[in-house]
Amino acid sequence: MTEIRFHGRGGQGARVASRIVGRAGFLATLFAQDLSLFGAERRGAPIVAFTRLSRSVIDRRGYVEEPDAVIVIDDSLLQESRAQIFQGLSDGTPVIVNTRAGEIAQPESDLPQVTWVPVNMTAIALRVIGRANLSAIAAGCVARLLPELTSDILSEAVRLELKEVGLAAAVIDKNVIAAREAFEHMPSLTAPERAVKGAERAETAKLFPLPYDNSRGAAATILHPGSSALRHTGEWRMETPRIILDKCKRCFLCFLFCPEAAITLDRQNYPHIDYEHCKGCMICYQECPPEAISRSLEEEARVA
Amino acid sequence: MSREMLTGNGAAAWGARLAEVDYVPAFPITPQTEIIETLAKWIEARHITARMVAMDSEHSMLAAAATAAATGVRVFTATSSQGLVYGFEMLYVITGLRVPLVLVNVSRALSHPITLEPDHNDVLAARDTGFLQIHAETCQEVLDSILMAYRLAENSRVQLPVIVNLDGFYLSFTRETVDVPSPEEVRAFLPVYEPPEAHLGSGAPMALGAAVLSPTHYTFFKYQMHRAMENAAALHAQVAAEFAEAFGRSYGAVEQYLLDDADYVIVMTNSFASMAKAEIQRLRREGRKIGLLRLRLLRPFPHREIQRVLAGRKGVAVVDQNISVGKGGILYSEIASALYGLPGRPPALYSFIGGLGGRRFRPQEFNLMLALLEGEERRPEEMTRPYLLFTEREYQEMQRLIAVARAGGASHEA
Repeated sequence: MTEIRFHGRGGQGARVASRIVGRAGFLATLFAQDLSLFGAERRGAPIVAFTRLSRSVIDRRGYVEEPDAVIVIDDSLLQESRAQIFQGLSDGTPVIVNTRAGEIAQPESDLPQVTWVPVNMTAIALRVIGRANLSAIAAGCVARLLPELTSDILSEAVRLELKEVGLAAAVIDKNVIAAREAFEHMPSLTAPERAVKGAERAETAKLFPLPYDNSRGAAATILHPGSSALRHTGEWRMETPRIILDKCKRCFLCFLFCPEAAITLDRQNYPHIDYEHCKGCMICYQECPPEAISRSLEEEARVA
Repeated sequence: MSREMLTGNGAAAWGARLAEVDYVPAFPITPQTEIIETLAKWIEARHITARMVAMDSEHSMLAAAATAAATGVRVFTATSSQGLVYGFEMLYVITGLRVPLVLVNVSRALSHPITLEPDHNDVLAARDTGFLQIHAETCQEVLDSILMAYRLAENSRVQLPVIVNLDGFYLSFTRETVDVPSPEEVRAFLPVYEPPEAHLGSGAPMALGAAVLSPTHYTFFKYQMHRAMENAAALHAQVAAEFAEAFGRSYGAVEQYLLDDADYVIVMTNSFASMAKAEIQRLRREGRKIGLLRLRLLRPFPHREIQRVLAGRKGVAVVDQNISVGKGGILYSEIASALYGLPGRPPALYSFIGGLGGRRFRPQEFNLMLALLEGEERRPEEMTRPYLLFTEREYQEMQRLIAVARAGGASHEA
């Protein structure tokens, strides 16, 4: 069995990528399983999806704890501990990363020596598809790891899954081309099929007698107001608004419309964006009458 | 103290009045409405100072009850049957918020077909919610149980709501003698509620019922409710002892009726237990060694008391006035689980379904139950099936009715 974990941000295509690979395995008559996990998060929040492909019956479900390969569709996730990219990785596990950089700096020193595979997926997407749709390209990279998944099977899987998503035929054609290009350009790696671990010994769990807590601790009650600000939702941002103060008429509309209260006014009533919490919804950009707010891809904003 | 003729609903209203409740969100439903009507009259006459709010449904009513209780005031509300299941989602919300309040349920069989008389599928549907459940046999017990319920719910080691259940019609609209304690006596037993934990107020913003997206967090909070229930089981004995001391009436988690030397035991709940007691007296006069175990505290489930009472008996018949369709009697399953593996457990444990939609028991049916318990043959497959208490005559009546319903227009006087 080969277990693949897809990390991305909501809206980038990690879920659809996992389904394309699952569909491809199905078309190749493998046993196939795919699923994705959603929280209350939205566009830009870390999400995770999984595909299991096997030549025998798949006896697992749920989160892939020890993946045979990982794909990271947004390299900013490497810095985000909450995304848990490195959970369960071993020495040699292929980790495909969408990055414009040619190589990837090991984010932490005590990690296993994974096999980094940098691929500039966004560049392929922008050139071939015309926008940063990454699902087919990510699937193309992953498909290359499994010898059963040919370029033709991949193409058919992309068509079927993107049709289900509701994309127009012309857009699907471009995605197929992009997926095939990613497939061809991947270095020839094979995710090693691990031996079945069923025979491994497991320690016996100890019973823990959960004690009674007082009701303050025993209900999901938050007594410290404002703790939601502790979560830096700015990491979810895929597009970045920038206020051009020279053009700003100080009308406050961005301040009023911001659903995250991430815009504050200074003493002169000029607005300023709190990038720790701005989720990049771009409502301020839409509302600004003098067009004093610019938009850019978060990736470009970071580089700038 | 004064002695009054009160209906079960009147006794419930008196329980709320004597508990000096602060807030009563309300929505009418037969056979409960008299409770809130009585409280409304007292509020208008300024006999009590509670604030009553008429809501637009039981769902809203229970949501209001939950949030009011979170502010640290004493909350009372009441419903029945369809109302309880309409508000069902909120039952879990109330328990998850860990707020104490008392909800009186007046049992009425569930629709469809719609009906009015009682059975216990309504209240037992709520058995897994985290509400404590006290089921009353008499109007006196309704009043007393409400007072005890607040003591249990408000204890810092419990902080869970309580359902006090009474049967529609057989208690709700039945008047009998009730000792009504004086407000001073009750205040000594049940002081003004002082919330042990921080509570919601205009100057103290807090987030209640926050989302937890981790199985670990969810498990922790959920199992805390179970721990609180275990605490409530121990606390019940103490509260009952204090109640007996104050008012002279003693309530166990279970009631044992003529059980001392009984070989055979009938298990029942609620008001029909009174009628079962009459039958047991009749059988006793015939020299039969039979008694009744009435379950009063349904949640927390009194496993230990049941084990203690039933160990060493020759046969037990559990009479369920409910049916888990596709399984059988709900209480039968729960009692069977309490007895599994118990040394000296009764060799015969039979399940009877009776009293659905308020159907009364017949004396012959108690004879039948006893005869089955006394039977020599102990086939396990016979013990897992429920026996339905239903007569051939009733079946014939049904056939006649069905013929009328399907005969399209002709006149059919039965």
